[in-house]
Amino acid sequence: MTGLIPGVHINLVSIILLSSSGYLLGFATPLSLAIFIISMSVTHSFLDSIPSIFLGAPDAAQALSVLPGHRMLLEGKGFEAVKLTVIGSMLCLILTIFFIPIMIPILPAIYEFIKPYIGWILVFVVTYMILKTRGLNNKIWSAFVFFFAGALGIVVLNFPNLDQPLFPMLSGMFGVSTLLLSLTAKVNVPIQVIEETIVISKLRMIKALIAAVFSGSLTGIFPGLGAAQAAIIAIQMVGNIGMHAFMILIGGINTVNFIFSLATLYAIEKARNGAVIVVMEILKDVNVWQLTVLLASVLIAGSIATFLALKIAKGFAKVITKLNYNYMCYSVIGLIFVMVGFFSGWWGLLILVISTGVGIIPAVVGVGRNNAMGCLMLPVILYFL
Amino acid sequence: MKEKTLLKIALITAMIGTCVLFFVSEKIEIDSATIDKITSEYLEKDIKISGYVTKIQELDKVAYVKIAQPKTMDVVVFKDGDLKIKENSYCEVTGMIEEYNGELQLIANEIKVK
Repeated sequence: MTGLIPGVHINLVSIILLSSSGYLLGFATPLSLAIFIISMSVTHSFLDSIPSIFLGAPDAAQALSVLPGHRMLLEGKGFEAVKLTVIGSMLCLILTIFFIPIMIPILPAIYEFIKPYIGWILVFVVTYMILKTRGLNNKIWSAFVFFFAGALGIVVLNFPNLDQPLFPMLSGMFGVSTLLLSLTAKVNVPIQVIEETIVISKLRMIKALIAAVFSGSLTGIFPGLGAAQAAIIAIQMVGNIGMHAFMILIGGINTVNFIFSLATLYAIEKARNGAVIVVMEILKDVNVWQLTVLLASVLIAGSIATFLALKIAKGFAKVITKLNYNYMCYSVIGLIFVMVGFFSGWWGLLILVISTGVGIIPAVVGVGRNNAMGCLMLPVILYFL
Repeated sequence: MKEKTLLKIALITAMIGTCVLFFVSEKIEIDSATIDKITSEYLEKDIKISGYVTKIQELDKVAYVKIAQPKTMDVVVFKDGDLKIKENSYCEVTGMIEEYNGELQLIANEIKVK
């Protein structure tokens, strides 16, 4: 369910579970609670492409400047887009599980080597991200969005006694802003075609999978680096691989990003996402057997999530044209506001409104929304420099 | 709605809002607490405690300070230059309550010697 609601991040659900873990541990062992959180997170990484493809789609006239997933939705291929991300998630999940035992012995040495340079490496990634934007005007806007979001991130993360500060900030920047823009764009989603077979070049698929595993693993090593930055690195690696392979790449990064953080937790005792922080709090020390059990549960959860994602996406594709798209967007925005009010209070609601404003800017001026990840990257860079 | 209007609204909301948030966060008074009343309910909360420094253990980048009220609490200070407090000095520490090895400790954000 968490993956199907835009703006609801698995970190939030994990933190709710942690706060109720005292009660839950009366019924379950720490390891089984950890398995539950990990399985839920993996399922989330398989399902979250469904709302991002079916909701928040822009106007057809802007189709060339938007994400390939939305472009496919506007071509009536929303189900195909989800299917490709699920293929990417599942294949990358298997590859990463094979890759983790090789990486674990060398991860501490890699981390110790790069640790003094983490801040500068992140500065390089940001500079590259801004400079690769086409046109001087867009470069200036990209830098503006990055530093503005960064300033907001610093204020929000240091706001005294604010519960779940990331929830209103990220929901506004990436959830509500997208939904509001699609409301103003008067979207007409065409009838969706459900294709059972997708033809894709094997070479492009292999390229996409290797790039997803490599760049997704980097997010496990570098704090502040998210799936969006990993996607930029991956695209530089593989060049133009076409829309289908791109969707596989995006789906894969999202899953690798999560699974590899389990290896990071075991090898260097660093948690790179909220769900893993919660697992670390519950298990305290993760030994090799617990890691093996967690990876096995990842594999099982991923297999079930594949079927679930395809079933739900098929259902979405059938009903999306029958539902009132605007009402659906309003309902989701309403739900996000209620949840932010509940978890983060009045200040959280103010942060939600402000970060929605920040999230709208890149979309309107035509630069990548990944620049808004400055809200996390800038505080991390300042911490390491 | 025209894109320019939307951009103007977004820019104004974001700029004014961020400034408001910044000034509010600077003005918000953090509650003072006595050490004996600090329980796990305070976890991840910012609080302020005052007391005498009874012990300082300095390492390379971090210092462990014991504050007595008379009940004591461990305060973790991430050093940014020389530590300005000394044993037996009376100080006010603002920071966040965290749990380490089952014990509550205060991660210092600001220390004022009084």
